[in-house]
Amino acid sequence: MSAATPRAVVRALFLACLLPASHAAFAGAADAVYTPTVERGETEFELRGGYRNFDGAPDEHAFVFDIGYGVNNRWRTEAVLEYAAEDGQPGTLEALEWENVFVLTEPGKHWMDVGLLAEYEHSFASGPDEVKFGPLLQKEIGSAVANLNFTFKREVGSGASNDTELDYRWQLRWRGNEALEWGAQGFGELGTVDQLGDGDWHSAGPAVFGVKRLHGRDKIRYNAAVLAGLDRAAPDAAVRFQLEYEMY
Amino acid sequence: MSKFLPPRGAVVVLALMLSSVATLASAAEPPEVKLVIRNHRFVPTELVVPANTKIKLMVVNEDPTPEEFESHQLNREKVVTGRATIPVYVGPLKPGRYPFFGDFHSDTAQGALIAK
Repeated sequence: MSAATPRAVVRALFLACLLPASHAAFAGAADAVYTPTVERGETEFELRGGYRNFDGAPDEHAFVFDIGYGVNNRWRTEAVLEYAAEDGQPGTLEALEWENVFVLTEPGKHWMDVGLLAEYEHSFASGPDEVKFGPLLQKEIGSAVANLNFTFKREVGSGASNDTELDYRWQLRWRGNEALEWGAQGFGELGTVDQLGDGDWHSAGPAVFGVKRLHGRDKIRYNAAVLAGLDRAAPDAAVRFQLEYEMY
Repeated sequence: MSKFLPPRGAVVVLALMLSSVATLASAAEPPEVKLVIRNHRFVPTELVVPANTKIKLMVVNEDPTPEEFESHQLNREKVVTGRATIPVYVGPLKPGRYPFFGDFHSDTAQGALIAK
């Protein structure tokens, strides 16, 4: 099990600041934790970014730009453009996604809130597209809110693999001052569903969350995390951020 | 294009999730408390609710324009369209004061739940 050194974390933070100018990545570096909540009539512009530092493998970085709309209190649909690069290679627009979040239970009504993520990803490279889907779970525990996502990923189209991969993301957020809240996030992969545990990796680290209210009804919402690899297959260090502009 | 068949594991997980939703849906309803939006104000502005009990807040918007019930302390944001009613589930709450506001008319639409 490799632990991220402080130097690797500092390096990841520094390189994240240079993301537009650097070469590296994979859209996975910009992954986010989803919540089973939707606001009707809200238009959202979102920028996500991430950098992953590997020991002995090319570093990765990625950007995701996304425009979403809350169709009603149960369904948000989004168009997502992914830019990604790997170390030493020029970055490219990697994929266009159609992403949907469905709220299956009324928030706060039951022991746990449940939603569903469903995505179709069209790759700009020659090769198969990808379908992603999975449950979005949320539980309020006192002044904390815990989220857990599982995502099944399966290629479709010409040359598609028969494997279905499973990944997960989680976060824990302590509610306090809405401008700056503390918590933790984790990301990982569990392998293919018929061979869970083969090729898995796990990462976790501290995170910050917040909302800034602007004039009128608009808001800027953000979260960011510094992640350390928890096993040899994981990125040694990673940083990620998510910035949303919400308007009605 | 290859045929997309969901793997057995995915089907099992989704079936468990849906059955959980069905089980959850059969749970008993918590006590209801009515909160009215009128002339872009909450009526009453303060609601006393039992502490340590989940509450179903029925937000009745009598105005023709939409409003958003919002509270960071309650971790809720939900839009109610004009002349419509929405449920907002909150709690169980520890004793205390929990402010909420209408995000579309926050200069006038202010209120609080008092959990006792």
